[in-house]
Amino acid sequence: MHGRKRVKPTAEVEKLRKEKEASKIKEYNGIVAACLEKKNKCEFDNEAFILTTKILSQNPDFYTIWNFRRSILLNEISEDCSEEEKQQKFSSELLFLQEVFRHNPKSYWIFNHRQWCLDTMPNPDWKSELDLVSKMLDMDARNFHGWNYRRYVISKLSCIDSNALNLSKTEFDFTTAKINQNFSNYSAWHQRSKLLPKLVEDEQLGDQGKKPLIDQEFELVKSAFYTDPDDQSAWLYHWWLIGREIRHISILGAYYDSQNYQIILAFDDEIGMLTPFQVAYKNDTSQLNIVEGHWRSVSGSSDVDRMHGSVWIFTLNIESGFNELFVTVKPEWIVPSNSEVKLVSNIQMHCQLPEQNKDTLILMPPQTVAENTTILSTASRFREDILPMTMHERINLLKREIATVKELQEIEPESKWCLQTLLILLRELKYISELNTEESKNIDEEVITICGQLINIDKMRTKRFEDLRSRAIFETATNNLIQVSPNAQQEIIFRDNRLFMSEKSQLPTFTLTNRNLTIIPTPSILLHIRILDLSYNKLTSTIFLSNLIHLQEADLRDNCISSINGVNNLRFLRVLNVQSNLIESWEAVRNGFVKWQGGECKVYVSGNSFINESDGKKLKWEKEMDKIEFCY
Amino acid sequence: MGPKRVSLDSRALEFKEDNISTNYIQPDDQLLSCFGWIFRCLFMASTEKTERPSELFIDLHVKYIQSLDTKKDDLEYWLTEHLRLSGVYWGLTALDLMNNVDALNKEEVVKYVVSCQHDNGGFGGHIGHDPHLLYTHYAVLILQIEDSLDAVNVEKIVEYVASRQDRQTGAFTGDEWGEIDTRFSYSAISCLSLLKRLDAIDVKKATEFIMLCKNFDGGFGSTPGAESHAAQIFCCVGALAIVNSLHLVDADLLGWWLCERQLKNGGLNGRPEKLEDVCYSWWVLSALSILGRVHWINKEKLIDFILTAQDLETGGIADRPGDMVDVFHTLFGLTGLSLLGYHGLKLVDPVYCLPKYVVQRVGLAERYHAKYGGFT
Repeated sequence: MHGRKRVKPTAEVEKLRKEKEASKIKEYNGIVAACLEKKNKCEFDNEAFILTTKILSQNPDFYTIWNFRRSILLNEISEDCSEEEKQQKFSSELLFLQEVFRHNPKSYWIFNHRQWCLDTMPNPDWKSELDLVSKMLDMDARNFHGWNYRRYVISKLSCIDSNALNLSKTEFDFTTAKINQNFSNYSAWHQRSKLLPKLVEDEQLGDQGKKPLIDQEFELVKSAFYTDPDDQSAWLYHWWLIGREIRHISILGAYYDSQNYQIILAFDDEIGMLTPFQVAYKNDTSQLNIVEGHWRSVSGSSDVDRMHGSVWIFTLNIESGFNELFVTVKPEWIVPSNSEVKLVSNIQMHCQLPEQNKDTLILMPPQTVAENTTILSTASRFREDILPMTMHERINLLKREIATVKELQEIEPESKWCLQTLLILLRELKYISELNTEESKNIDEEVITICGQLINIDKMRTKRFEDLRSRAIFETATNNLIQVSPNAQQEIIFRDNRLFMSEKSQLPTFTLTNRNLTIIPTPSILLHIRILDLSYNKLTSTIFLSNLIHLQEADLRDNCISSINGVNNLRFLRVLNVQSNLIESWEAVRNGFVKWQGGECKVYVSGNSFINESDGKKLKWEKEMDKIEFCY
Repeated sequence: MGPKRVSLDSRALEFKEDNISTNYIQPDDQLLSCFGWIFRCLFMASTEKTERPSELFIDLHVKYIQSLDTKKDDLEYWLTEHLRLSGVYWGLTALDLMNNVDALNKEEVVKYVVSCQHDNGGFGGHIGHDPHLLYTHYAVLILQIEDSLDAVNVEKIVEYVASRQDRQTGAFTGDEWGEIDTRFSYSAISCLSLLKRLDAIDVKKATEFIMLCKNFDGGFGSTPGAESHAAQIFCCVGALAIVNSLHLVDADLLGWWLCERQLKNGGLNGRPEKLEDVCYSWWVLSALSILGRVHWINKEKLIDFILTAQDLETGGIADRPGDMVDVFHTLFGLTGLSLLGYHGLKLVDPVYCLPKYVVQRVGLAERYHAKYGGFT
């Protein structure tokens, strides 16, 4: 039941109600029994029809009775029945439905039956149906049954009316009218998002005509969110209008570990492997020969169908030292983590083992579409079938919209929609422009500030803003971890030197403390790190550590970790500090080291609630895993 | 803002919503509205002061579910016969999550389910009611909980479900009368997955149809062109998870849309500008959970909201505090709490809406973003 207030009637009142209902129950059950009996005997007569009317008027959700009623009607029109008689039967049926609908505006079964009638009758009057559904939507502009029904009626009309475009235009105007009545009509904006692409497709419009149409849309949406900055419909439509570029997956690091006969690949997305990436060598006749081996993802996550991960290791079957290896990854061999990320071209890597760079696989020039200036990524939601823009025009669009929203934000500093929109637009701008480090950093800082403001304004969704902020902070901090060599397209060298060497140990170190980090968005970028300090943050999970295959020391003190994960394959890990976290049991620590692949490791655990438990368990685990030492 | 209507219909249970804004009333008659306003304030005040439960009364809810079949002197009981099988699934799953699956007699449950099966393999909503994909799915869910699939002709079920697919479009009809809805895509995919017979349908085409229902906001509707709605989103995301195609979802945008369903009172609604409702604690939360973003909801406020919707006299959970309870909202309140890690409840699987141990017993892999990463 929805929307029925709780009542606590007295025993007296209850007794009276039950007495009253007793006769109703008997009557109702009687009719139902009689009706179902007729159904089982296939008696499609008028008496049966009347029984269905009685039942459905009272209970339009009794779908079996609607089925029976339809069978009766079919039976009636299959006998000697003129077109007129058929038409008449269905017309009265539609009237009956309207009656029932009055009391039940949201029943699936009523709409189904109406649709069935119209599909079955000789001459359905679609125009009158359109009027009917317009009235429905006047009464309740958000009734999704109504809108679905309207789409159905329009689709029927477009079969008759050869000019389908005209219909789209009329419908488009209908949504304009609904939006002008009430800017907060999400259903109307949604409908509009389906119609606009059709209008723009109109060949007669031409490029000259498209631009004013789109400009008009931006105007409409702007007046909507200026009028009511708290209403989400216009903002969402705005985001859709602007569109988003598909992010391209790229390789962050590629190594040939000739000592261990392994190839290591790091992607900047957690991909799924559909087909194993090809590893080959060239024989004397320059033919590519497949090298046998197997791939595994270091994060170890997998389901029945495929492995997932951002860092992948290929172990050669034969322990022979190839001088040259070729690695290929094709888009159709992987699945990305979500729909907004794609591998857009084949990746080919060639490892030649030159003296100084013997651990680096060299990236071949990617076979991408020529970097021409007219077509944007075809996969962006809006642009794909609508308005081609040059990169320059798109950047201008983003800047213009950022300015519009910032103007509103000055008037409405507490508007979370302004701020959320700015977040999206700024990130988009950062992604598609070739910003230098300084500009990029400025955007990141602005994003971080906005996230801080949102955390204060919208207390419900704090954690999401903390995640977004963490992402910006992490990106800023890892900005120059990857460097493209002077040979540009040909080499990606993973910087594991200089800037990131710790003075003490002269090992690649990464530090990012006290920044309220809740997530590590692209852990594969830390592939080379040996010493990690992420203390004094708000991380809840350690699973990202699995990507840091060279990790030796990790300081995760004072975070929000409740269990240890992702460390069991870290062969070089010597020190793990998880003091002052939220670990509640020895199991939560110990389970992280099941099938521990490494050597000796010290794990610091004080400041967690479980350490008050007996040391018995600690000793027990230490005996089991003799290389792990739990320290306080 | 236009005036909002009060929806009076309350019987059918499929994704209904109310249009009343909790913030203000649009009265037609000033005087009447004045009294109405005072009455409403008093009424709300009294319930708010006396009933703000801060714990889950499991025993009460178990008793409530056990009492459902005894309400034979309520007209309502008879008017909802077509939901009997659904009711068994809702009640049984709720009981299992509350560690009381035996509160309903297993033999009787299985016998009842079997009696709803037709010759063509499909199940109806009650004995003698026509077969339909929805109820066929419920039947399989119940039988998996009771570990009693051997009581029915499974091959026939597979045949019936497979026959519901339109091989041209990939869509699924609910029954021979042809209604198409992504709810049915989910029912079919979940059902066959639980029977390990996804081979019986064209999974690729089924996925294509679901993708036609994707909208500008990242969400999904019932049919191509239909508006995004949390319940349909659960169906589509769940189905995509089962067929290993979550990479087709815009997880950030949809995750954001879903977490915006949380209103100031902590409850979740099903789409923008609608009222909060406990059943969205499932539709929204399960989808978020599958996408690895359940932490984007304010957990404490939602738990508080669900607990406040309990009826401490009769047991059961309602769609919102102060309303009448029913088994549908009781289940989804509990599944919501389970997803939020509330103590004392078994873990629920966000894809199948079954206790996790049942899904594990069937031998199905965890089918969702096990790790929240790859985040653009």
